[in-house]
Amino acid sequence: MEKIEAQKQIDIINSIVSDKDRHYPISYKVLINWSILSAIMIYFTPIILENYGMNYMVIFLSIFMSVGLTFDMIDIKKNNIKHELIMTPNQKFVMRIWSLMSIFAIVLTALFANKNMSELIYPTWLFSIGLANYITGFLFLKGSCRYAIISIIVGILFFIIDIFIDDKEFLYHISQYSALLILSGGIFILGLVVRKKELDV
Amino acid sequence: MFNPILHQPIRTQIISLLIKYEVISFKMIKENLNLSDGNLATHLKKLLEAKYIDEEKFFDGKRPKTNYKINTLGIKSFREYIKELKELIDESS
Repeated sequence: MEKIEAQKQIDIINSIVSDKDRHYPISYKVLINWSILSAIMIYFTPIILENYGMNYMVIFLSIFMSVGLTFDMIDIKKNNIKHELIMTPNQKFVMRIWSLMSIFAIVLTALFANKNMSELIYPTWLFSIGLANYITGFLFLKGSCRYAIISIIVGILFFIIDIFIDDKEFLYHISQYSALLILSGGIFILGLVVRKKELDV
Repeated sequence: MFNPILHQPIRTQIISLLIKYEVISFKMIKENLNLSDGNLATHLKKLLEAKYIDEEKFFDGKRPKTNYKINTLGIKSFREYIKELKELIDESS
């Protein structure tokens, strides 16, 4: 009798704890928003760099990153109000990681642009955004982890390829298309997956 | 003899939710477990009296809200409880 009761208790604990993907810190709207912002940043950054110079490029990236992060904050607050929650330590941690990774990506973008190593701009974005997504995924959404690993690996691969390939322009364009595919298209698809899960709950 | 505070299906579920979500609101527990306000408040009171969980009260506009999180003693006791459950299951098989 006691054994059956104990097994029931273990089953209750497992059913709750193992179901990790039930509460998201962000809604699908945030991911869709980032996919649009990413597409704009990936497409317009080289144009602004070429026509207006590095300072304007940094301002452009900072504005768009800030818009994205502000939208994240508003969404988390809205979500928390809905669930009657105050900002949780994990949510604060994720926001800090995203802010730091954004600054890291902007600083390295400026550095590579300054050193005429523009072919490394998009690999840096793939790596840093992938890392931020991995940490978010580790805490909240398993699907995001797998997607983030792809982004990180592709970013690293471009850094390695850069050592061996002389045609930097070719590498620059390939990395731009990859960033567009992964950071914009991939995040858009992830947004749709999250939306489906939100509707299922 | 199991821990009488934790060896109760509803309180086991509440503690499991607290382990899963780090911080959780009264509303979220209620929705997850389909409990009435009174029933949930009784179980939370027992967990608070045992000092397994902490509560944080705040105001959303004029309405008071409460968030709960499991503390170190709660985590330690829950781990011991799970260990005892597993030992019993292993002994019997």
